[in-house]
Amino acid sequence: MTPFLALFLLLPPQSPVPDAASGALLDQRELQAACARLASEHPREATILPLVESAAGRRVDIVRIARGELKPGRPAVLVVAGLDGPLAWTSDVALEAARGLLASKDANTRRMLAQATLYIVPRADPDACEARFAVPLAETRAIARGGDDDRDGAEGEDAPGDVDGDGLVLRMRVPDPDGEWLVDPRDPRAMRRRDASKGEIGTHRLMPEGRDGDRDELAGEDPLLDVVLNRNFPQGWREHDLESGAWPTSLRESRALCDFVLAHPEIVAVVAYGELDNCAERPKVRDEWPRRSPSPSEGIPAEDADAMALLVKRSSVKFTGRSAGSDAGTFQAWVQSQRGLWSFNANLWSMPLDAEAPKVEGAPEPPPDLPEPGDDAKRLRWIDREKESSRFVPWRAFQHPDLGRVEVGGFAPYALVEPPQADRARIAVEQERFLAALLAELPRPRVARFAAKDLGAGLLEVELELRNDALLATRSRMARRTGGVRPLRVRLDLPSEATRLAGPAEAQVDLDGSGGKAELTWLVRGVDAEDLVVEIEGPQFVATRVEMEQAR
Amino acid sequence: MMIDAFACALLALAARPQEARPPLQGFPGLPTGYRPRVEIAWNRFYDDVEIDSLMARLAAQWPKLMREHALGSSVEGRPLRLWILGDESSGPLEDKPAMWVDGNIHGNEVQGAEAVVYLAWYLLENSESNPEVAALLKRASFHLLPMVNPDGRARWFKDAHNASSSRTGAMPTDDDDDGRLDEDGPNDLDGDGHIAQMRKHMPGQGTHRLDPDDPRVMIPVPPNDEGRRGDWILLGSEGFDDDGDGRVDEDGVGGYDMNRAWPSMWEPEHVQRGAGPYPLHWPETRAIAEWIAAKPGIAAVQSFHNMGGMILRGPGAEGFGSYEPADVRVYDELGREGELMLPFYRYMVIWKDLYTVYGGFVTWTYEGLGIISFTNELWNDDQMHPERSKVASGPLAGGDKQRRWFDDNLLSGAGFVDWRPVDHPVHGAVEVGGWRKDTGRVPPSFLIEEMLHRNALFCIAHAEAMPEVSIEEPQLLDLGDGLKALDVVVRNKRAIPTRTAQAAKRRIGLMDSISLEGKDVEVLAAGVRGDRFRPDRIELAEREPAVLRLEQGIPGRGEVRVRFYLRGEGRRATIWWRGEKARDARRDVPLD
Repeated sequence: MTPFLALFLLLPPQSPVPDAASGALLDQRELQAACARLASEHPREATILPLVESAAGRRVDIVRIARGELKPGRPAVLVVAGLDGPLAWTSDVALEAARGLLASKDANTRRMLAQATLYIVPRADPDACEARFAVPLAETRAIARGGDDDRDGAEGEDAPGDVDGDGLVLRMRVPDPDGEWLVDPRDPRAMRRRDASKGEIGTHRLMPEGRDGDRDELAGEDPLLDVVLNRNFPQGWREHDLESGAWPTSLRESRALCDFVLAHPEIVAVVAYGELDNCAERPKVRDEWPRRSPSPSEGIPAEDADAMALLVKRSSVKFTGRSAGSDAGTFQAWVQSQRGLWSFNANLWSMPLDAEAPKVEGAPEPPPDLPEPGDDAKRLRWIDREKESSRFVPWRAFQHPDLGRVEVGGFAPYALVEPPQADRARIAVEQERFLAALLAELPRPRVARFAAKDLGAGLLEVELELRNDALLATRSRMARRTGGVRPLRVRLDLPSEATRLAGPAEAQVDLDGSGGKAELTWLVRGVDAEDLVVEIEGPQFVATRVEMEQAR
Repeated sequence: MMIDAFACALLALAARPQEARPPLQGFPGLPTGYRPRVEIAWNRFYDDVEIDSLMARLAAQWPKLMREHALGSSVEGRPLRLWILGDESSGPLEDKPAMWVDGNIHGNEVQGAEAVVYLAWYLLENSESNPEVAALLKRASFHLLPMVNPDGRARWFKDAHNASSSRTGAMPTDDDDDGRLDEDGPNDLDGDGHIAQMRKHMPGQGTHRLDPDDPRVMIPVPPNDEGRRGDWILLGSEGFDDDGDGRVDEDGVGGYDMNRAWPSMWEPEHVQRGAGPYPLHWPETRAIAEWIAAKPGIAAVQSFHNMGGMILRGPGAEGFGSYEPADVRVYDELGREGELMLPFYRYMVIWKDLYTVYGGFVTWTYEGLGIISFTNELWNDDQMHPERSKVASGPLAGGDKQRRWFDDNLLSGAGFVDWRPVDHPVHGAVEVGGWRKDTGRVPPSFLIEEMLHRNALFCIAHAEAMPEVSIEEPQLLDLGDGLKALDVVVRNKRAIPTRTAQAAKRRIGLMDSISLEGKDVEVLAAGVRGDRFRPDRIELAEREPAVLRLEQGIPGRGEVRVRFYLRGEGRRATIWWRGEKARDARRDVPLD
């Protein structure tokens, strides 16, 4: 297949405006149109809220989905997609899942949407995602200038680019006995890094396709843009790393996302469709929590990890993605480790690493002493088996204007991170199911018992028992540790003539999940039992007044 | 008659009025013969509006040397007025190194603002008369922000406070996790403008007694006092439970710390209270960070705080490790000099000698931006009674007694609000009394000017240390066959390098460059020489030999030697040194 054909297959049709339901990738214009359509189809439930305008002038919107009255404390789930530039396709998944929930006839789902709110950010990083629709096609993550990558005094003079004019920004390999790469003997298309511990000698240099503008024999080593949105958040932020930006939230998109979370304390959980994953396997647990020491880079308390893993299991959604890269400076790490929100990170698709080569009739068996195939060779096996040949552009010789003879080829941009079109629809349906399961398990504090015992002489002993029957606690252990979510506030409301002789003026309460409970006791006088009222309020709980009579 | 005539002449001479001697120019710190052009009383503090007004008066008097820049606004909408001071007659200020000086990031640490105003005043008053000041203003500039936190300052002056309150900015914050913002701050029960202490008389049931020598003083009853109890209970600071949650004064205005908000080694609230939800969350901090990050010429930073008499540098936290040795040498030199200039001040490392601070301002300006930065903690209460050792064992032993002695004998008791009865909604009849807010953390009026002057001059010494680069007379060698070697020495005469070791290590900012430019001149090779006597010891540039890039810059009070190998018909060339933290240097060189 020619590179041009590959480009054709990877690029979506540009008109007419496709619907997310079609499984097509949506560019910014189409995405906004799809959001607007969703809002117009469900005018009472779906509302578009502007979040911020990107540096390039693209809008980041939030689709709020809520049925019924938006009372303060109504719990919410925030879904963030399009957070990592290469994953533009996740925007469609988020929108489709929302569309499915809105269209659902299931009584439970309808009830949940009447009690909780979904905030969906379909594309947190529109500038990076829009590169998915540009020609030449280059997998893009960075959206802002960072600095002089190669310290040669010039900034951005050696960006990756389409040197051979095929419309794709690929890789270049150059024969070099000092190179760090060699051709995988299992598959001559695949490259793998030499293993010095095994005495392997490299045969090639591998670099991004691009010009060598500064004549340093390197290409693509100094792009103009360095700062990556999902490296620009506070948790584990890496100072002096050009990807990270001048400081956490130096980008308007990252700051707006943080501010949105802070302004919406009703957000109980965050579902982020990105390169990180803690759904396919139980989230990492951290056992030691020294007080007042620098915040740990990863890991959550075991109780939180157990609840999250159980929720994933109950959803019956099979997550298969793998985390790609560190969580340093990511949005997911911030909401989890600093805000203490329930943070479900889903890398919705990773290209499978096929262990077995496809059987080709008549092909000779490989020699038994061949080393194990590298990951790229395994990916190529999957590509061959699935007949997804457009995902790999065969290496071809090219006379580079600066570097001389090179080969250009490799995995096509986005080939490793975008599932086949047919899978995207399935993934969206699964995410609809997962979101429904999550909404069903949001904390549901309730008054299990509110009673008064007459001790004589006008003295009442008042007892209150609160319970949470949902799987998720009213505050994760992480939130209790960080203070990122405040607890429930409980107050016994007494008439002015009554006196509180014992018990808290105001109690702060956490309820564990799966039947977690809290008990409070007061001693009061000067009030009849039937006039007693308890007030319960929390950031993720609609303020409630329960009268003693009611409780009975 | 002759005698009479002589006597009359003498009398007439004596009677003739002396011609008034005009005041000398400038105001260097000498008490006679000088009159400042802008009279400012340096024995009092000024509220936020007055501080702005003082700076505006200075700018009006010296419009060519000082201009205002609106940096942004505080949470409550007060302007953050940045003042840029320098002499543009010698070139644009943007081309020169600059020193950032701010104060009052903590609203209650008020004297920082006066310290910045005094620095501006001193520089301007002496800008024409003092050659050193004039030269400094020609080669460098100052970015002066008297009040990082004008809201906190305004509230400290206007509202009831104690010496330590109103440290925060004014963004409403839920300190007690109840969903309500700033609903339970201190209460000035007696309406005197100070948040003092409360005590209750409980004969035979208390935890404290009155000092028999001074009934203002509360003495805790020791636990083993043969069962005897005190007559008083100390109830803490003035206030009551505004929000009815059973806690007192737990959620006042703001409740955060803008000096825990900066990006380097920032840690969140649960590690360090007051840090906010992310670095630079508050508008004051963000405006400053954006300004400084966009001004690579800033080569020195001072951020005034109170109190304790300290010249502080980072690291703020042990986890950072040590600062780069080459930079520590610069810090040490300036810090030791500061100790000489500032009696009662000690040069200290924040985490090691004071306490751990994550995300501090001056740690960010060094660790993040590579700038030699100090925080001076203004005023040391040792100055109340310099010979502490003499009172260590006498009747004045102990900090509070010493403080009272000072108050009684040198302030006529004005610093202490005597106990007076008030009604408290919960505790009933109590007494309120204690120290005024303008004692303890700030000097008394008669010691203010000394504090300001010494610290201003320390700033000037710090500014003087900013890099100044020159190119020495190059040496041209004719190597034959049209090949020439040009040896160039680029020198920095000041203590601070053009690139700190931190900047070099972390690749902060642009590298310095030394270039050779000339018509019909071709540079074939060039490099940095490692040995002045052996030309073969040279680190050759891999590419573009006409422009040598120096990650390490030019060391403080040091030099870099380079050699260019060149050929061509050109008869003249220009050598340039370019860098971010000093004025560019150039030298024309004949190639004949």
